Amino acid sequence: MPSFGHAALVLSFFLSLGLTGAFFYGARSRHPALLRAARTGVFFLFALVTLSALALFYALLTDDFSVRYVAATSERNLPVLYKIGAFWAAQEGSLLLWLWILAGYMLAVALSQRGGGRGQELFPWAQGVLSLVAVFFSFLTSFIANPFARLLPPPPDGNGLNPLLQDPGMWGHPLLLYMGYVGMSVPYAFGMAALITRSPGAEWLRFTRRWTIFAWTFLTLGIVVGGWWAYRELGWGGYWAWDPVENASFMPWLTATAFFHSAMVEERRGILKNWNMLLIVFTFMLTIFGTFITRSGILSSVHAFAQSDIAPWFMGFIGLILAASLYLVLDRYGMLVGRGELESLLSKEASFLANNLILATITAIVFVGEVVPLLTKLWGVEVSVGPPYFNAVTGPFFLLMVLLMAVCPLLAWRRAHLRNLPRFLAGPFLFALGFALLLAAGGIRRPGALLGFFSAAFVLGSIVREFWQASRVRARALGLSLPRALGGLLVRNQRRYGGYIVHLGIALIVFGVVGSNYYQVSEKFSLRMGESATVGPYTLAYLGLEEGIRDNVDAVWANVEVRRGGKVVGVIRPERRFYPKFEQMGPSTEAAIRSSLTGDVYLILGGWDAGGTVASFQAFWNPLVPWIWTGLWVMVVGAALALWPLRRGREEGEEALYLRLRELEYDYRMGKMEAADYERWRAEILGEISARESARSQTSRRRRGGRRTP
Amino acid sequence: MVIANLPRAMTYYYPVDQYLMQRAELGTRHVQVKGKVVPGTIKWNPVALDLRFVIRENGREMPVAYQGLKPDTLQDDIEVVVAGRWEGNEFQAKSVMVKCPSRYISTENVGK
Repeated sequence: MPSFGHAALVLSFFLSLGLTGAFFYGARSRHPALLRAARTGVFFLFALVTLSALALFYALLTDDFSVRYVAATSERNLPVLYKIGAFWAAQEGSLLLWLWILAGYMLAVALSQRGGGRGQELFPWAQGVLSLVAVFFSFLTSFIANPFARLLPPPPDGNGLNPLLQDPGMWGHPLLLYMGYVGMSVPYAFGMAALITRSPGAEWLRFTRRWTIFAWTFLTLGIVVGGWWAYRELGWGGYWAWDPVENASFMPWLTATAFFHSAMVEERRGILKNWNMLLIVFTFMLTIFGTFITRSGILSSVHAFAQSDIAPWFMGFIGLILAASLYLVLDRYGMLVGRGELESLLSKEASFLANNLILATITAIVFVGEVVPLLTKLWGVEVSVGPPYFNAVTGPFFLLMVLLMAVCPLLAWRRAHLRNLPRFLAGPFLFALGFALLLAAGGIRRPGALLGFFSAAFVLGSIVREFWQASRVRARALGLSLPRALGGLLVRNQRRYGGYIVHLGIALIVFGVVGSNYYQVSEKFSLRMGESATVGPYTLAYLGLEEGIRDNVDAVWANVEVRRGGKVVGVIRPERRFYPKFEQMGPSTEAAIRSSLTGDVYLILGGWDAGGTVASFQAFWNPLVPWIWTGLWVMVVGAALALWPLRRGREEGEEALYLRLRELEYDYRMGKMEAADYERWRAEILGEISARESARSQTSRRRRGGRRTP
Repeated sequence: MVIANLPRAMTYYYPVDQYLMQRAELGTRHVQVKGKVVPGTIKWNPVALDLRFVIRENGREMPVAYQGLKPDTLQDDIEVVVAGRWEGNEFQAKSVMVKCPSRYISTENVGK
């Protein structure tokens, strides 16, 4: 079975090489038969990689310790769920996962291609680029980091999975993150295809916008679930430490977020072309860099770099891709110069541009903090760049970003109505101000916290206002009830209102981050049985120790009664587990967390005396942390609304123009633009519609004429 | 802004030997010291929440005391960064960070 899995990988390497050649050559020489064959080849590539992945699952599930990877990451006694998760617990398996997901995306791209239509010539080139990426990853897994490498004679049992990784969060995190990472290859590939074919239009963005949002959603999920894992499992009471691996996933998220915002500007207004191209190149680079940095071992020591088999290949690949992409961008720079221009600094597109600048700045800050310690290590000087740097330097930019999110929904495209804007902002602003004053009266006095809460409330207020006003205008225009008008908005302009729901989720996350960042309480105490201690609003009483089996290993836990305001709200059980394969680590921590609307009480069992009459604890009160996880689900709902194909096929051509016409009308009725501007832009869109209609009737007339004369 | 903040935000790690050499001039300043845990020196009293161990770098050793929980990953021979100051005849740590290779695990050394 292992040899079979490896053989499938080697075959997939040669197949991706062949596919790269076939797609590029077929596209260049316009060879439809070759391209058809290559598309079938993509299906085979996916099948081969799937077989190989199944072989690794099989080896893990059957405890085949003759496979070195299985011996290194699994053991007989591991729960089945984590035997499956061991697939992506270390380097070789993760790289195979990358390849597998890539092959899946390639298949999906091939299936999404419908014959005819504008921009179809991009497909083979984009598929060629994707095949090239597959060449790299199948090469690595076939020859450099082979997950099926043998260990003979096989040991009687494996080394086991690190207890820290035995957690549902760590099970899901890599999977979700890689869905996001790899998904960014699709818009990158289409961007490169647009450059290669010198197609100046925004077709590549139209083709890939769903892919980008899809991948971005998974990237978001992956990052937040990673924070959730760290929070539950690492036992320091926090969820984000600006650790290099965290930053590695955050940077592509920042650039991807910038990318799909400015892509909207290009789609609508034909500007920012060169900027978008650079953004997608950097996003793709950063996904590869992130994979590299987390999987090469380079972070644990510089020496790992020299020892690591995959590091030089990754560096080479990143260098090659970067050079080729930048060459293409520079060579075709003329094509990327937009025709339109920014009409006003007070417009949606200007606010998107500002968002881009802020995101790019934050990315640069994180990148510097990430790379400087790596570089200085090469000179033998060890420095650390930690949370104080990142929080202090990125904080003001995040604040600006959130404030921008509050203003943006109230702005029209092209040119907003200057005199009306203060009136729009007044409601949300006063709401946020009142909220902040209320908090200040309640004892929240730290300026950073007040500013953070204020801006998050500002975002909530302005989005609620937008929903309210838009539904009211629509209800009046069409004679609908308010709820029906709102439902219609969500269904008809999914992208816009889905996007605002995502922003709502971000506002919730801001509440959670600000609350836990400024008002975390941490206490350490030893308690005799029956004694209690307080942390934040909670009182914790130690009832005694128990032991038993949890997840197949021996565990000891303390029963701790939780009271709030004199009332018992439950019993929580912080644990210590004794993983036999990881004895040298000592009993491993399983924190107990009790969540409520206002925050989490988070308890770690430190140790105990011989009889268990005394136990020591570390306790945290983490205000508003549950809002972070809630905010994530709100974001996912918003993204799903934006993505869901409710109106399949109606987003192109005239339908899209009619949608824009309605949007323009509602924005006008909400007072977002001046009458003269409205009339002018309305006439423009109507002109485009009639131009399309006459073009279509001409072609159909021609067709009918053709039928008449055989 | 980035440039201005970076030098301030970067924290230098003193290897144990260098720190001990410069101790006189550093006095009781808050610093970060990096070293490897000397095998067999970890003493952890879970009831009193009192953790003691010795770290070593380039042949020099330094005793460290910390009041709090023992990090799961603190073990013999592992590299740690302790932040704190000199008090009496030991280093009183405010925090103990284990440079935890398991998070960036590669299977390099398995089965060899």
